[in-house]
Amino acid sequence: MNTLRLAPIALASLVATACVTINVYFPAVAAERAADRIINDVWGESAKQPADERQERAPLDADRPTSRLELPAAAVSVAMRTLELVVPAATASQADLNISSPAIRSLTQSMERRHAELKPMYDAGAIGLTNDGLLAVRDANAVPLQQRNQLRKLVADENADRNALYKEIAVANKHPEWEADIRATFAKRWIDKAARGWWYQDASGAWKQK
Amino acid sequence: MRPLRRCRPALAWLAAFALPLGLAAPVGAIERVTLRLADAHGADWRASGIEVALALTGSGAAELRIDRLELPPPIGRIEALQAHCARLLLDGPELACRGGRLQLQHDWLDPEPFEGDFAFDQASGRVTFALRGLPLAGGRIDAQGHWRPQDWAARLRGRSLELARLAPLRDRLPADYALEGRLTVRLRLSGAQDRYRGAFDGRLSRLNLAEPDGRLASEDLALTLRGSFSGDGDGVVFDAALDLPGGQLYVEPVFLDVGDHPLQAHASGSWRQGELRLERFAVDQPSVIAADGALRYRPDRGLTGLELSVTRADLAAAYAVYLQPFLIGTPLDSLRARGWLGAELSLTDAGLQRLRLELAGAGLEDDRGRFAIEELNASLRWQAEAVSDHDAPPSRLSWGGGHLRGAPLGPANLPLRVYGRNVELLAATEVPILDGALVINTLRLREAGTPAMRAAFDAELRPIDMRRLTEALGWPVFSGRLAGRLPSLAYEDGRLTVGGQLIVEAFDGRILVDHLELNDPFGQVPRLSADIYLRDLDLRLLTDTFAFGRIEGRLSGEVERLRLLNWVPAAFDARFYTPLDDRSRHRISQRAIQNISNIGGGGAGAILSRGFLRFFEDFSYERIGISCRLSEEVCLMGGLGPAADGRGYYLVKGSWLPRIDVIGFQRDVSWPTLLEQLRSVTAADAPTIK
Repeated sequence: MNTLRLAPIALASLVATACVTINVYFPAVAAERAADRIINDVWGESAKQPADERQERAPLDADRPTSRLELPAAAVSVAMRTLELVVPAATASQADLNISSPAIRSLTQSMERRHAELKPMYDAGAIGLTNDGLLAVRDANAVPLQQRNQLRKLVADENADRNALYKEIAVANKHPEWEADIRATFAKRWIDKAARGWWYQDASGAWKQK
Repeated sequence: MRPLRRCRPALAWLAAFALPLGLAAPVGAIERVTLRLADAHGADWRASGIEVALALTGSGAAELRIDRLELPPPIGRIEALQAHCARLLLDGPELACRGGRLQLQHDWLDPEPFEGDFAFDQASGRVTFALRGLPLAGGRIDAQGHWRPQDWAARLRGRSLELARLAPLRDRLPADYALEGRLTVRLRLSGAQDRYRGAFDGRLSRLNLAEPDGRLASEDLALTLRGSFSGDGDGVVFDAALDLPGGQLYVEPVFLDVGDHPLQAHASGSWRQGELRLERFAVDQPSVIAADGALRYRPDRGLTGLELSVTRADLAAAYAVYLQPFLIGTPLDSLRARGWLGAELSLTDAGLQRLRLELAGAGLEDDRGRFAIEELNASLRWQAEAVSDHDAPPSRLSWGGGHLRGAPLGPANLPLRVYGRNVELLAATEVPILDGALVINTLRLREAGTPAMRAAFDAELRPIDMRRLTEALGWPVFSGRLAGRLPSLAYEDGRLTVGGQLIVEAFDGRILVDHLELNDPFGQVPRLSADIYLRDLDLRLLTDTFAFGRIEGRLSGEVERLRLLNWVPAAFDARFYTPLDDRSRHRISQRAIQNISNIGGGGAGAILSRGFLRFFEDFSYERIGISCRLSEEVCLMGGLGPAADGRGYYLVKGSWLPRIDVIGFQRDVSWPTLLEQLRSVTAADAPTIK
């Protein structure tokens, strides 16, 4: 929480207008790590990957595009020194995304519970991972007739959770505009971590098997 | 050889042609006459490699071979035809073949021999035939009938025909379709000139169909289809009854287990000029649904007219089979339903014109516990057009009870008028909620469901007991009363915005809820945002309620930009403080001081319980103040302002003697930890002071 406390000091010392601009771009590496942690939670054994450090949250402040900090020319040197106190830690190792809001936790748990029912469907090839981070029915014939609507409902519910999850992560990190990037990151990581034999869509939308 | 120009059934004609030739030979000298023709053809047929052999002794056997015979469609090409007549009879103008055996190669038939008799009457031109055991699609067909220039008739009986091998179906079936099933059918056909009529009775057993994308499939489905038809060059009129006695059928998204609920359907209509008309159809699925109606359909334009009347539907079964599959992905996809439904609708090519919906004794209960409604009765009459508001027939919606997210609803009766995209409440209506009520004075929607939707809404909340309400909703329980006026309500893109203020009269003060907005209330992550203002609450009542440790005095505060995600606080900017103009008695108990100091991260317990202060039960204070700005699960704490030493902030500013100040030092407090502390503080008994 150090930077949380430092941020206001930094801000206070950098009042008014001038020329240093800090733009923060979508933290791709952090998003991938966040996606992996969530996917590991949801898929459990199905997503065997080297264990991640279980660090749930870390300051994002320096990474956040308070998009422009504008400094008076005279204050620049002071400002730069203050900034160095705040920024280096963040840029050296990109901060983690916050994925611990109650909404994200409850979505992850709901997906984890549903996965027990979805796993046999993945294994049978009835469903596959789409290239936009969702699920789709790939081969309904792999499922007995009386379970087909159950399958459609599972997919609809899972997709509602996934869409909400991508949005919530963006919102929880104070960047609603990151939603599309987060979705793309997840789409890639779901597919990368999918078990052998599961189906996924390539960039053109064609089904392929791992 | 002169080309043959006459067109008649080839076999009979050739037999007739060959016979007189044979008879012309001297009797006794020749035992067998063989005639070979390289080629014969008529206007729409052609035969090549013809050989006719007649035995002139014995019973009069005859043989016919044709290497290749081209007949007009739909029969087409026949190859390697071998016909053997055990007895060939000539009786006056009639020529007959008895005890015939045939073998031939045709695309439709299996290459196995079958039996048949033929007769040809030269005078009338009548051909009669009886075929036995025609090898078709793994099964057998018996066919008999006659043909004359002026009329024809046939009876067919097919046994155990494999559906997938039936020629017309087989040729149209895509390679990736799986189809299994056997057909047993009786067919009676007759015709004259271009008119024909017939009757059929077919039974399909163990029908297994799988379309490659899984949208249409059946498993061990049994099906019988009976009916009759008649037609001419223009079209056909039919009457058919379908019976599905067992098996399973999936027509996305509807799954029918007809083993559980057998289905019967009946239809009579016509197919003429590219239009299918069902003058009447009826579907009956006992204990699920009974419906009848009429429809018109054109393959190029879709459904152009429909009159449908659902005379009776048992909601429990009909919801699961016919409604839920269409509602998947909406908040209504996991209900338990019961009761009865009736409906009438009328659809033309301009869209839905009229809908009448009756619900009787219905109950809907959400599986996820979000809502339930009991004793639902409705008589809704909707029509697409109305000249004026008063022109539209009135509707009624009533229920006996229910709950919304756990908050009980009482019985209500809503007189309505619905037409086009308009909904109007005809009279002020009271919906009881616990001991209070939501009184809807005005509800009028125009252009509902379009971006241009306009709404007029005016309602008030008659005081509701907060203790029971918070208990029902599963929130932290507190007492008081909720009331307010809601002069407007807007719903757009899943976002419900409430105009006006909700007022909770609680703890002898007032809590105002403003800018209330509910996003996606039935979605995965419902979001609520609001600003809340507390005015002059009596702290003594408040602290008694929450068992926090007694404080006397008044409390005001603001919870601004409150955001609940999934009904859990995600962010707010809150301040609670003693109003500046509060002249009431200000006392704070030992226990309250301890609790406050725990929250502030201090720990006054030791001082209080050991020092001389322990002799005082409560202390006088000047002001109390605490603030918390919640974001990302961290509460940024503050109080009345910086403390004298400049390091902390005042939570309690004491006055008189013995003066006690509570100063907080911790700025960032984990919100879950803070909640945990609050919970343990309000639950625990008063600390013992020794």
